[in-house]
Amino acid sequence: MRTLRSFALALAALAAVARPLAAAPASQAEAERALQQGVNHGRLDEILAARASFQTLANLEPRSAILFYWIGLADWRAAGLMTNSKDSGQKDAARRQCDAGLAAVGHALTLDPQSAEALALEAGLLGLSTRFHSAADLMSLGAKMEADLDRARGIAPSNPHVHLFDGIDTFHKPAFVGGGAKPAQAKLARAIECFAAQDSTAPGPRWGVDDAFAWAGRAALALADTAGARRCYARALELNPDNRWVRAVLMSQVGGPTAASR
Amino acid sequence: MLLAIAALATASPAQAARLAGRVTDHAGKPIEYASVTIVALKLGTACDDHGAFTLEVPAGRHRLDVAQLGYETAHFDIEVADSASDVRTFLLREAAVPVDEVTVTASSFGKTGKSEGAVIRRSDVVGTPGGAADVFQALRALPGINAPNEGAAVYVRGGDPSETLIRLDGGEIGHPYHYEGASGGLFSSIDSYMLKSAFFSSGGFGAQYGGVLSGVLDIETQDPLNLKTVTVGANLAGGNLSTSWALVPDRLSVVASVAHSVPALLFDIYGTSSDYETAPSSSNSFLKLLGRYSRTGKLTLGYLEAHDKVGVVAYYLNSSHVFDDIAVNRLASVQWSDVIAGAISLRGMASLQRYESGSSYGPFGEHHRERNGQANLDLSWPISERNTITLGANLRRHDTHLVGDYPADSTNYASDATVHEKDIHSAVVYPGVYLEDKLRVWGPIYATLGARADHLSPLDQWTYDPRAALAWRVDEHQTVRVAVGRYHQPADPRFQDAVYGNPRLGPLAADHAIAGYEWKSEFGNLRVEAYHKDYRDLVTQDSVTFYSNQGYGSARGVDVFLQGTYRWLSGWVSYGFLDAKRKELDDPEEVRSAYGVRHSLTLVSQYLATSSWSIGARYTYASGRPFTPVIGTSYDAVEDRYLPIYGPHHSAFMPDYHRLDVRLTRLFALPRYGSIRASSACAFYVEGINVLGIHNVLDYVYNEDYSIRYRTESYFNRAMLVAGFSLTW
Repeated sequence: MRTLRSFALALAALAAVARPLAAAPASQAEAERALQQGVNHGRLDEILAARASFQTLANLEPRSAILFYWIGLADWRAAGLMTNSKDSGQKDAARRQCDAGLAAVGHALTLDPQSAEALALEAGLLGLSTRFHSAADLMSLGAKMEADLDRARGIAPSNPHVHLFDGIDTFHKPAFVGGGAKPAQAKLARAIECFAAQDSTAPGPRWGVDDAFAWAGRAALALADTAGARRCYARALELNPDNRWVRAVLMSQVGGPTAASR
Repeated sequence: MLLAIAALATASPAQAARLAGRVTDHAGKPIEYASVTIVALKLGTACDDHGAFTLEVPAGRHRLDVAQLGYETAHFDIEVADSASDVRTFLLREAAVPVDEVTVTASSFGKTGKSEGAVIRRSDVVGTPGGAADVFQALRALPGINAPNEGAAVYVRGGDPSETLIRLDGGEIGHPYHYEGASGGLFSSIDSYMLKSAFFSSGGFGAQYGGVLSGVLDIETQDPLNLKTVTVGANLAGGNLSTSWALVPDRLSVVASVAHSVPALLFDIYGTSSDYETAPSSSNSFLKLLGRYSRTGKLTLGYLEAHDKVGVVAYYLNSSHVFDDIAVNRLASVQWSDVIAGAISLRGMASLQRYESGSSYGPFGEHHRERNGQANLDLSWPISERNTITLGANLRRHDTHLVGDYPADSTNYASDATVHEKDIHSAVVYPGVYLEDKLRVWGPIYATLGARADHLSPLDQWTYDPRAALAWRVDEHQTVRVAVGRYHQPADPRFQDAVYGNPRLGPLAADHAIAGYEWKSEFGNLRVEAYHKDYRDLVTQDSVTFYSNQGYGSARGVDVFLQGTYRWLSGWVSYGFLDAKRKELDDPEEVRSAYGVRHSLTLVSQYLATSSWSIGARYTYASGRPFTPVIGTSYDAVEDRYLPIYGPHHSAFMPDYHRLDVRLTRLFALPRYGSIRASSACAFYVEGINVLGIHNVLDYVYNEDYSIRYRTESYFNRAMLVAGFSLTW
């Protein structure tokens, strides 16, 4: 009996040594939550902190395509916020963030060339990067974006992120290359359908259903459909009541509730 | 045994310890959101917005990796005691500009791109007014090219076109021009659709480039694996069809283009067709098959074929004949690239080129045949974020054969002139090796240090070329550069024939010294560069050995490039001052270089009127090139003709050159039609060439007794309007 007790104590001592000594990196799920929180708050620092968490995880798991995808997504979020800043210095920072995102998503695609999510994100980052290039560059960037989205649609025709990025890119593209609010609206509607039909247990990144409604609302507003825009924004807030961009900025454009009214 | 296990547990160094740290830059400013990892323990965390972090780790020695965007990733070997309570500071060095992205290379004026490998892109070629969407014509709008005529040939800082190495996907390509015989090359035979980017340096370039004295144009063609696009284009002078097509996504793709040019319609419209006995026509096709056999490995097969022919009434000295020229150029290549050991990039290529041309002018004619082969192997090894080693080997074999009837008297080109039959043959094997180190020497000082050695087979002679370039990034906006280097180039094969030349002719040599300053901002950049180039061992005529290496010369000057963008207006100004002198061939002394254009100025602007309409203009000025004037005549009673008496070599100047081109571009897209999907960005353009109708002079010709001098005017000696389109799906 005494021997058995000693053995148990020794095992306990070993277990104490072998147990992870806390401060393990934030889990992927925590980092995803932190990123969504940063997006909800419209806080660049929180987004960059979440990016750092993904980077830390990716350093430890350098063959994980999904971690590089999340780094790219954080860069897309950060660069989007930076380009809307009035500080001209932020434009250079946005370009660097965009380049870093393209590098991260490129790495994700090297690890998993069949990732429709990564292809769509690459198209999204390329779409964002057109803001730093000349109109003539649209001819080559546009072709690359289309190729990415074509492939992504071929691999995963019902992936909502593919249609979301397609819709956002289309919204920003000039009308003469098939862009604009009207064609974007159809693509965003498809994204919303795909989100609704998505199997909640299926693996893959989970984000963006409120974004789809927010962008659909922007497209409606651009077509002077204020009521439609308000409906979309309201739905976005139902799905994610913390989305400050929708509550404070977009809703105020259609006479809806603002952050102050919350 | 249990005691032993307990003792082991007690003796284990893995006591919990707390590592607290702060990540800062050299000025002590905290670096927010850096990632901190100990890979061996699978532990990590991210810094907060004050650069602070804590990690609980086993006591002992560990390697800590700290990384953040814009800084060099740092590795710290640290000792953590179980009772540690202090906060350690970890310094990161700024790496906002990686080694590869600092333009250490001198004389490489980039309009676009963050790295030195992308001086000009397809969009610049297509969008530059007056450039006819031709890569060589677009390059002329950048500093360093002081072209004495409207041709596409690349004249760099007083040197002739043979002094510039032109590479396509890593391998040398000879004769990449259409209508080379008539004008030194009028257009490129490389379809601009195929262009991905081009690096051009007019001096001080690195050790990977060998065998040339003055400049490098390194063209990379498209290599998409997943695109499916088709482009159709046409204008008054011809049409083209090109495609990138993914056969197996991510694995196999084909890129192809076919272009055909028949400017007969253009000539008919503008009334110049009577000058041509055979209307000029040209075609070029390019086929590239790309395969990716692994995550990092790529294999590419390429084939380029170009044809052109022209028959034009030409005047030279006392003669007037039809100049007929037909040329065919074929290049087949295989390229391979891969990454080994996760970091070392390997790139190899081999190519065979076959060039043939036949030309005639009255009683004279020449058949020119070349068989060139080459193989290159390059290795690039980033030893650290601060240091990249590149090394490689080249093997080139040039076999040139010229057969023809040449004038026996260089002043007599009349129909009854005496001809001299020649059969010239030269074969040169030219292997070389190089080593180059791109490094961040200290703080803001970057360097490229390299050397190459080449072996000239006929002479069994080695040449050694040390090269160095230094860049000092004064701050985020300013960079100062200096570069020095030695360059060698084999002599022209036609001078090395065993019968009519000197097979012991040595290589030509040049030393470059360059200093430059660059200022960059969000709105534009300014670059000023001064250079000095000393030539040695240039080829001169010799009464005993036909040719020898007794020539010399120099070129010095300043290039200025100012580029800016403000809202919807963008453009650039390029100015070059050049003072070039040489003693070569029959020059009795050092005289102005025949290609020495003293002042050259290009202004390019583009205004985006709307998101789909743009207006562009380009103004080009060049001071007249030197020529040797005829200052008198003597009468030869035996031959019953007048002989010219020449003045001092290159002592007179052609009139200055001016040209203004404008371009109106409309971008649009075609809607979906049946099974044909909606198009990508398409363009319709109208280009006004030489809209001021200036009669620029290319050369002078004379009547029979040399009493009257006539002007040979430029190809675009009247205002022309050319319309065209490009449709992409």
